[in-house]
Amino acid sequence: MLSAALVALALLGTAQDLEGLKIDEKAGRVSFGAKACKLDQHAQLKGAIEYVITMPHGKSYESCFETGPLDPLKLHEALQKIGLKPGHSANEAKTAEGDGLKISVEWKDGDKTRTEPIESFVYDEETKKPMEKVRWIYAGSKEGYVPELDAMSLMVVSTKNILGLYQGDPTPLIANPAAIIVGHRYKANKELLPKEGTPVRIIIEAAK
Amino acid sequence: MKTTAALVLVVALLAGPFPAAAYIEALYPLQHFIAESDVIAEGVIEKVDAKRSIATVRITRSIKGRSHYEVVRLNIGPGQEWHPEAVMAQLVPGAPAVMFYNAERRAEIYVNRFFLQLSGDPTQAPEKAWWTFTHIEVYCNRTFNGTAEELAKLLCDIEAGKAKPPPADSRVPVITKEAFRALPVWGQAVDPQKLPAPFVRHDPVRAPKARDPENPTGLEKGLSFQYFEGTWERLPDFDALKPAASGVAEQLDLSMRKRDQQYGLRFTGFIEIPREGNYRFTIKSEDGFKLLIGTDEVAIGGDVLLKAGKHAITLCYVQKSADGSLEVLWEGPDFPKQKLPAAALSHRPAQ
Repeated sequence: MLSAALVALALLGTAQDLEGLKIDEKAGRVSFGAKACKLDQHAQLKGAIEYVITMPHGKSYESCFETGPLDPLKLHEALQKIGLKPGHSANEAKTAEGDGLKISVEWKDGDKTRTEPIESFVYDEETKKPMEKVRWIYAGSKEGYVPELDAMSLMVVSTKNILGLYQGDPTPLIANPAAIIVGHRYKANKELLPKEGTPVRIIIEAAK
Repeated sequence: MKTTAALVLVVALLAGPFPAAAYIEALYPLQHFIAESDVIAEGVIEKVDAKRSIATVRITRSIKGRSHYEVVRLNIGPGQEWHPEAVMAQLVPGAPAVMFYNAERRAEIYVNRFFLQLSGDPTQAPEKAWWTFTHIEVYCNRTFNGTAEELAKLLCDIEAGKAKPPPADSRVPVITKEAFRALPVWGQAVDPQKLPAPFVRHDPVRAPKARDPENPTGLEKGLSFQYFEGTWERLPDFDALKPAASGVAEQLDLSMRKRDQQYGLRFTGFIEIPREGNYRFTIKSEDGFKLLIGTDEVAIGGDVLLKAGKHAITLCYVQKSADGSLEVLWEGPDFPKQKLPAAALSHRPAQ
């Protein structure tokens, strides 16, 4: 019984064993490890999520995937190394803009390795279906004073949320092209999201 | 301790489902904040750096439990939408406030007359920790409405068993950008009669009376509408204007507009309430609007208690710039938030 529990624990991703940031410039691909988040931590949220990828101590309680100890500035550099250009976050005058991204999630499902677009892990309450495929926007996070660095930098360093579903939050590196400010439109797709703690690999490429 | 110099921090280590990043839209009584809190403390805003959008709060005493922090460092810049700039204008050294945080370091802080949501990092040493601002809790003046000093005193009295937490007050409307910007900062003279509506404290909540319906006869489906053209910064007095067009709208939308900007609409008619209970209306729109049931303005996001039957409804709307949209949602005692159906709308035909 105990050994079975230990095996189960070993299969779950911890911050230490999640894959670090990798750049394949030739293939135009950036990847990093993450794990499936625990869902429904706060009953009041009624399953609503606002992010898809967060960092430790970001808002992982309303997200699908939490990265390992990722430096968001290094991820920002990595995306530029594969030729992507950041735009800007949404503000009162403009919606978010930037290069289009394709984001996939790869994970072990039994003996098989599965890969799905990250949108598939998000359930759209409006259409009552998994989120439609989109060109995620490489907005690049709002710039400002970051007290943790005592410098002007990207505010994602403070907020620790990488991929946001609502443009009301200007700090994620990557934004949903649907220019929705706030709401309760999205939930995690429980049919697809692997068990809490399951390690996954997130792959980011330029959208075609 | 002089209350004028006291910043009140309600520091909460929360075991339960303390509200997370999303807005707290549900009616959330103060009792929930207290019951879910492990620590309540007091302090004072010590420093404000407007250029860097940061501020510090010095803890002066704990009301419940014991604060881990001598100084709470606030990073306001990353907040959502218009909130960071508006909040920075409200942070004044010496001002009192009230704050809640949990084991995961999600927090609410009450400053002047409103709650702010923040999140921290429990792995950071207290002297190095930063609390990152998310947004103003635009619905939470229903939880408590008053000054931070008053909240501090109330919390102390509740902890001492001398007072009971008040119920949430559904009559308080959501905080808008305009209302927030009109709120006097701490230290300025306040005329209670002139406070913006979300900051007005109502009489102690008494058993509300459900509104009686008009229940007119001879109604036809749809709402009457009047269409106006003009440039307005805020909702005009439509009674003083001559409509450019009028007719019957099947539902509340903008399909009858004759151009994409600088126009106004007034819909009038009746809404069928299926059963007595609290109803909540939400309007998705970029520009100005006002919803009335009978002659009473409805607090968007607030509850309105209605008896079953046909109630007079008016929606006034202006569109300043292009790409306008209008969607009216409702939720009732036995159905979730959804689009207001055309079938619920009717009007009195012109004689």
